[in-house]
Amino acid sequence: MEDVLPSETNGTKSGRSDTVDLNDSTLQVDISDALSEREKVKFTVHTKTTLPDYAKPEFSVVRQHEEFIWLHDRFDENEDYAGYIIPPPPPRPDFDASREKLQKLGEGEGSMTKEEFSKMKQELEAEYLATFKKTVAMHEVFLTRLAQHTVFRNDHNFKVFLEYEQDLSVRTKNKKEKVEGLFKSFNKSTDEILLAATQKDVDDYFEREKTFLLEYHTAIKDATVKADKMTQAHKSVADSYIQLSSGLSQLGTIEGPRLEKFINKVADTFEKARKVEGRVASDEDLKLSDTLRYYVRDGSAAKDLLYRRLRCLANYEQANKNLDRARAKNKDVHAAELAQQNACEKFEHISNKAKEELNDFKGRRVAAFKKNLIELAELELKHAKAQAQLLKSCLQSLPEE
Amino acid sequence: MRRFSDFLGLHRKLVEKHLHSGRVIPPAPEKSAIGTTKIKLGSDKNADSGSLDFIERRRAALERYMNRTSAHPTLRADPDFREFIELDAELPRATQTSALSSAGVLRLFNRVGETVNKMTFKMDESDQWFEERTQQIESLDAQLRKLHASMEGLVNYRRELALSTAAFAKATAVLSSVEEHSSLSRALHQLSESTERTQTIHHAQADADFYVLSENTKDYIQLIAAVKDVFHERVKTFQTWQHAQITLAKKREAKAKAELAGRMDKVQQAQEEVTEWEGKVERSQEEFERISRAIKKEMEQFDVMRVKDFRDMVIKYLEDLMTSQQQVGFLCCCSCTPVILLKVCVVLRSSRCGRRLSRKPRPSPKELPGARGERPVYACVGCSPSPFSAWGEPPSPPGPGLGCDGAAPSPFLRQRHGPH
Repeated sequence: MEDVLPSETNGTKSGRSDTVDLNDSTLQVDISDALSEREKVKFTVHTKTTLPDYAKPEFSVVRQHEEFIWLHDRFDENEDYAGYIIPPPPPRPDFDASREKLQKLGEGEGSMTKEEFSKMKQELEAEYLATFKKTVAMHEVFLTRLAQHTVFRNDHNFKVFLEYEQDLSVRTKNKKEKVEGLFKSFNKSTDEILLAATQKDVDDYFEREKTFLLEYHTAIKDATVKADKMTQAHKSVADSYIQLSSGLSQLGTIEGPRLEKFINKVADTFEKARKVEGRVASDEDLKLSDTLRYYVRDGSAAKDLLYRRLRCLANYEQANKNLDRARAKNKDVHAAELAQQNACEKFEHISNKAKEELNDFKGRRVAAFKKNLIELAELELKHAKAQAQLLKSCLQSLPEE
Repeated sequence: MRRFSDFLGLHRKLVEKHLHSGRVIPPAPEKSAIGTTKIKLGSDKNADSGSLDFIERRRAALERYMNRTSAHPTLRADPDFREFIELDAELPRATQTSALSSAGVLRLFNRVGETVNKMTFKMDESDQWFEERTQQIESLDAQLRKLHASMEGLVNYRRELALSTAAFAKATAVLSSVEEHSSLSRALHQLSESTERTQTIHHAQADADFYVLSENTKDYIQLIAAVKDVFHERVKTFQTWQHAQITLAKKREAKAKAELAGRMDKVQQAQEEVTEWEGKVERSQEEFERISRAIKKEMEQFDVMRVKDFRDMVIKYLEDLMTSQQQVGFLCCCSCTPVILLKVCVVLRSSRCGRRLSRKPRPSPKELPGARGERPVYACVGCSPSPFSAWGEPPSPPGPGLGCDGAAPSPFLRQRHGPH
């Protein structure tokens, strides 16, 4: 009995006391390059650090999406980090949608004029590029958050991820593991519901946070879906300008000299307006939808944290009960006491950390929303002005002919 | 007060009178059976937006129709038209306009016959001008139809945009009510309000897309159809002329035969017929030439009108578009940016404490003993071997003193554990 305890307690607390005040330049991670090869995307992760653990102050490695997921899972499964909000993993690079569209465009080639076709193609390629850039940015955000976190940055797996030159040779989960994962998540969610219903929280703060996060998560999810729809509609409007513009210019050639110049000018204006409109749509996507989307995922990570804490609380109460029972029977009292004590520590630790993390989450959220909303407003203003100006100059030049 | 069918009746009268003389008669708006039925069904319930929309649509279409008709120099002077606009009483009910009446069915048959005729009869064009024009009109028709389709697409997308913007505004409102950070919540509320207003602008723009651009283009397509009708009328006159010529040739042949046979009574009769048909040929030729001239004149007028109309339409549309963009800009400018800027600055200031917390170095063990009392109430003071363990300090070795020696009452700890 006596010798079990130290090892156990050590197990839960290894390597956590050595953190010192660090400023942000100790570990800087960015994705300097990315390469799309058919099915996979290869990210070049570039690191600059002053940490003594690393062999070199500056280095780059090539990583794939699966390795990012692997890294996230390592964090997620590590009990030491139960008290932290694990940064949400970047979403899978998804180019299927644009590819499908490109294919559809190819099929519909016959029904369009050459000009229209090339414009549509250009548009799609731009979309593809934007998706690509976004994917890279999201992977980078994941790494940056890890690197900036005072605890996560010292993680061994993270170091390996950043430093190890060769392929990490992580494989994607096989079928059995997938089923297990599914089962586990199912178990977890039932447990979560059960706990939410039965477990009474002792701390008002967490109780409040929990209700808030639940509501917030639903609301922000809804908002994200709606924002996506809006962006999509905006994009469609921009695309229909293409057809309008090319239709007009064809009309111009039929109409003959009296209207041709006029119509061409208008068609040209529509073409330009299309570009502005398209930019509005992509900016909305970038500033609004993406911010919302990120915080949907971050919010659910925070929810997971609260769940873990609640689970701990439940464990702790169970340990208390066990101790009582042991006392009553006067059997295995010491072991029960130790278990109870461990649970207590764990719970306390997780609660403290969770509080910090939640505050951090709030600050981060507010700052991100601030930055993006302001940028969004400025961009919308800019685009609206540009479009108004464009139309105005077009109108001025029209009656002269 | 005029009924919709009165308009159709007027149109029919004008067509009957003027089409054969080669005038382009502005087409009356189409009857939409579905729309009317909807109105009839929905009239006893509330006047929902759909029926209002329908009425507005019809009103705009009729207005354009009247303006077009009155712009035509000949039609303007037509007694029926004048009666239509001047007579204060109700017009006799136009019975032949209903789609289901016998006249309607008859008309349908006529139309089918004409279409067949149009398809089968190919007139070899002698006039270069007409050949070119016919071709131009055909391609114009096709192009306008295509353009109209893309305009309809634009309208639909814009409507969708307005709807989804409204949905987003609502979702943001919900989000802002949930958001616990008061300033960010206010900022979100502002966002919601301005999106709400943007939605109104989008809606107005969609209406402009529809009424100015799409509906006018649709009118054009119908006008082009009217032009085609006129052209067809000319073809019909040509046909009559041709027919008269052929008959004349036959009659002449018959006359020659009779002369050869020496039957004078028949020759006499044939002679009369020939003279009759000669007159007919002459008349129909005259008619054909007249209609050709009329059409040429008419088309010139039509072209001028069309160019002006089209130009006005596009300019009006662009102006509308510009206004709505300016509104969006204004909206962003006056309601979004400064407010969000201001508010979020406040937000940031108040939230900075949260950030600092996470950056703060962990308290060293020496500082901590005094902090004991600050520990949250729910923490199990007595039971932890070291109060600092949560901060990552190595635990103190377990000793006999383990257990609850502190008396801090905790709502969480249900009982104390005495040393065993």
